[in-house]
Formats: sequence, structure tokens, C-alpha cells
Amino acid sequence: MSNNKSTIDFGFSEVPLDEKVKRVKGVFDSVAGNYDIMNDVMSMGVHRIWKRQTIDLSGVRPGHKVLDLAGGTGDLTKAFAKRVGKTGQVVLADINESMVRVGRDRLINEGISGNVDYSITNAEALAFPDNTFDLCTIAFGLRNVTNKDKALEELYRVLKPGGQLMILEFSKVTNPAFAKLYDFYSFNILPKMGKVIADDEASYQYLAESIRMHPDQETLKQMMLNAGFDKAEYINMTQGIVALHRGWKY
Amino acid sequence: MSADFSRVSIVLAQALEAALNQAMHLDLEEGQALKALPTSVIALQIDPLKTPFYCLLNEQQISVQSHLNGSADASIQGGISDWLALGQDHPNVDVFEFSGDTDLAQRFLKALAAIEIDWEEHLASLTGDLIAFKIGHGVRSYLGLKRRQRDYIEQTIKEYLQFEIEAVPTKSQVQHFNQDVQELSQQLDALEARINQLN
Repeated sequence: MSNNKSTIDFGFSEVPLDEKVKRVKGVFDSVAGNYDIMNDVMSMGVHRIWKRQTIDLSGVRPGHKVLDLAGGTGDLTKAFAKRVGKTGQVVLADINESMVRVGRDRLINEGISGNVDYSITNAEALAFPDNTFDLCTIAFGLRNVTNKDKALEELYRVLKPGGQLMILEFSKVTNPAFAKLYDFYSFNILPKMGKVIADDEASYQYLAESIRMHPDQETLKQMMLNAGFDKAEYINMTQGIVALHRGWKY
Repeated sequence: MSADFSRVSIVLAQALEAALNQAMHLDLEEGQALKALPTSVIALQIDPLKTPFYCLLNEQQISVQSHLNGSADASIQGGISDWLALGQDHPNVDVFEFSGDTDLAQRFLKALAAIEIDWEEHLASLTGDLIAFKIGHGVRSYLGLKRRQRDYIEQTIKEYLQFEIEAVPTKSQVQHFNQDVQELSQQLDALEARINQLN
């Protein structure tokens, strides 16, 4: 992607490479407290269906080790922790301390502990040994990573042979008419909702812009293959608003 | 894109998971029989659905999903009516087919069949005893009325067929007929014996 450039996209703006991490951190520090509420309002609850489909398709089973990268407030971690049981392990990892703290508190309050670990980790330099996880997921996080190619290589490295990577991320809407409606919603309604609910219009403006700058379905699939994955495929959800990419390491 | 993706089976898996966990929660013994099962995966094949559902048993709860990495520890196959009949008083578990760890599969099925929900008690916690009793009484009365209506219709059809149009015989008519046949047979035997003596 943009490895050889000195700047990188931050929404529709170009910022120095080092600057993006700080700005993304600022966005998520700002929205962490209202993240779950905003997700429900913005997607009208549909993000729960996208995540449920991801969990179901993961095929995870008791005893598995799962990395929930950019795990945020722990939606996926919670479901995976129930499935892998005491013999398995789930690691909720996020570069943003505020998000990990919100996720950890929420899971502990819901009685989920013992088989969940927490890690503040940069996706481009994962602090785990090679061949560690049966399943890695990154839901609505990859578009905020500065060097996506490096992150994909790292995810490939920490997967066990036979393991699966699942990337749930906003993508390119397939229906042109629906795309216009979606654009109107993203750039006119979404930031206003951010203003009303979280008193933070700028962060939600960034979220809308970052979605448009994220690689489309085919590009991301090719990036996964370039990162070393032996097989990659994707599934469009809700007309391509979101795509679930899956990659396997053999 | 080329992924095998069945949204319907995912929705059904979610509904099944919610139903099983809710049933455990409402059970008189809080699903102890299910909770006692070891950590394992059991595949449920509900005919005629093509996709199996995988039950992930983890101590306090059951998770259900339509995909699984690897194979299940045990598998249970049965028709949709057989599965629904598990909710009745004396379900027949012999109609199911088991594979893999059959002991585990049978224990799982018996634990499911053993779930007993006292609806009236749970309703009472929401509405109070009096309203719960009235609703329970109403439901029992309705079910009793349905049973009496069914018996009445059966009796009416039986009498119409047997006495009005005489399309089918009554039980006593069949008995008399059998008795007549038996007597005739004995008379024939006696006649045959006499004829043999004359020779």
C-alpha cells in the first residue's frame, strides 16, 4: 500500500506516518466511553448481526487460542471466551489503552474471566510468538492501522498452521443506488449523531472518511495473499457496507 | 467471492442457542444434567435441514454455531418432529441415530429430555401468584377443552361410520363374526369327521 510514502491517509487528509497512530489514538480515546452506544445507533444494531456471523463462521471450538486484535470493548472476546472454555484462551488486544480498559471492565462485570488475557499491542509488531493462535480476528480495526501490509504479515506469523484470520471491516458498497444513500448517511447524518450522542463530531467524521479510504474487497484479498496467506476469500454483508475477509495459513 | 454462507443457518443457530440456555435457566433443576456433561462438541442433525448445528458444551452454558473447525465429539440425528417431541412428558429417544461418542450423545439427549419447566412458577415471579394461577388455570382449561373436543369429534366420526352408514363394523360385530367363523369351522371339522366314518 503506502509503505514507501512519508505520509499516510487519516480520513481524507494526508498526515506524516508517525502522526496517524497519535491521531487514531486521539479518536478512540475520545469515543471509548460511548463506543458501544454509538455502534448500536450508527448501525441500527446491525453490527451485532455482522459480529454474530463472524463468530459462527469462525468454527471456533473448546481449547482454541484466539487473538481478538483491535478487540475494543470486547464483543467478540466475550463470545469466543464462552466457546473456547477453560481449556482455551482469548487475548483481547488493542493499541488503545482506553479501549482495552473499557473492554476489560465490561467483561469482568459480566463474569467473564480466567480464560481472557488483555494486551496493549501494536498490530504492526504483535507481542506473541510465531504459530500461537488457532484464530485471529480484527473487527473494524484494520482501517485504522498505519501499515496494513505489516499488520497482515504479523497476523500470519502468529497464526498456527491451519489457523484462520478473519477481518471484519467496512468496505465498498456494491449497489450504486444504495452507495449514494450510504454516502449521504455517512457524511451528513453520522457526524451529527456523533455530535448529539458523544459530543464529538470530528471523530465520527473521521470514521466515515476512513471507511472510504480503506481498500476495497478485492484489494484487501490480494493484500492478504501478498502477506503470505495460502488462501483468502471474502463475504459481503449488507450490500458490501461490511465485508468479512478470511485467510488461512497452511 | 466464493464462500459457503448460509445466513438462515446462522440465525437458526442463534435461536437454538437462546432457546437452550433459556430452557436451562427455567428448568426446575437449572439444567444440572446438561451442566454435568464434559466440555465437548455435539453435532445435532435436524432432518430435513442439511446443515448440522454444533453445540459447544462449556460447564455453565451452551453455545450453538453452524460451523466447526474439525469434527464433533458426538453426533445425534433425528427428524424435526422427534426433536420437538423431546419437550413432551415421555419422549422416545430410541428414534434418534447416534455416532461418535454415543454415550456422550445419549447423556446429552436424556439431559435435554429431562428439562422440566414450571411455567406457572416463573410466570408468578413476573405477574404475582394470583394472575399466574388464573393464567395457568386458563391454559389448563383450554387444553382440557381441546382434549374433550378431540374426543367428541373422534366419537362422532366413529358412530357415523359404524351406525349411520355402516361403513365399518363395531368391535362387538367383529367379535360375533369371528365367533361365527370359528363355529362354522368347527362344524365343518365335525362334518368332515362324519364323512370319513361313513367311508
